[in-house]
Amino acid sequence: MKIEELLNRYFEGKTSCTEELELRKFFRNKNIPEQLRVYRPLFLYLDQEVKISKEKRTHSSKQFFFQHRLINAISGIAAGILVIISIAGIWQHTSTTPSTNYVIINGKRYTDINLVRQQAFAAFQDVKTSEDETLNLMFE
Amino acid sequence: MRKFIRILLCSLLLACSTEIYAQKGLQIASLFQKYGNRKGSTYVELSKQLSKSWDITHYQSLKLTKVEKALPDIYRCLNADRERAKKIKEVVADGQLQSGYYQLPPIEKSINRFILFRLGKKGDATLIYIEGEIDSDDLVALMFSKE
Repeated sequence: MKIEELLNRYFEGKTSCTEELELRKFFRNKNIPEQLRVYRPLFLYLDQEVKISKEKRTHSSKQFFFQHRLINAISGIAAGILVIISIAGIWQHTSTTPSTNYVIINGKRYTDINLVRQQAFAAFQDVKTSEDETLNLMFE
Repeated sequence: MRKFIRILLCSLLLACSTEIYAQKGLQIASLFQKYGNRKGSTYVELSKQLSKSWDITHYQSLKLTKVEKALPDIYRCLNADRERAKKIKEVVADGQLQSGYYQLPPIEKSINRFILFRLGKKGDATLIYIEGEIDSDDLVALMFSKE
């Protein structure tokens, strides 16, 4: 009998997955020969274990898939933000670089280049510190 | 391969955006922005050459006639930026910075950067930022020129 042969091979550890599946299918039936009924609980248990582990694998692969998609989405958003920042930086850099010459006095803007230069030199005069001033500071 | 290309692209973008902000990374930039438009202030921005004789390609200055409220801000920014300076000269009286000269590391091969600060006797203050090929000796000469 084929099932008995399979059983002998199973207990010798020589069965393939297909053969074990065949054994489990056979023992799912309620009508099995009396001499083989003693093995039914074992194969029913094994059948249950296989079902549980298949369910776990499906669930964890769904979870992994979802996590993977989430990570991809977040990286995509981060990359997009980085692109926007870079473009804004480049635009700001290029828009302010060429000849910005102006002076703002009490909130009012002037672009007369002579006035701008005059105010620039006036500022230089303000930051001068002469030797006399330094000596005065030391000996006040 | 696709992963490598993505990583490379992200790294390039990151380098690009940080490079752009490197030269504007000084704290004093915030002072020009904050106080430049106010009453009692004179803000100058000059990108053309300041004068034919001096190699200054970028100039910003801020003069505040009443600097009392802005002074903590100014000191905070100068303290932060002086950390990067390679040359510092300061005059401090009664624990308060009166004047400062800071030479920062160049941004490109020969583009030097300087910060100048002076607290006036009448409650005013002047802050200057300069970029250009001008060196420190020429800058001192410029400061004392009557042009």
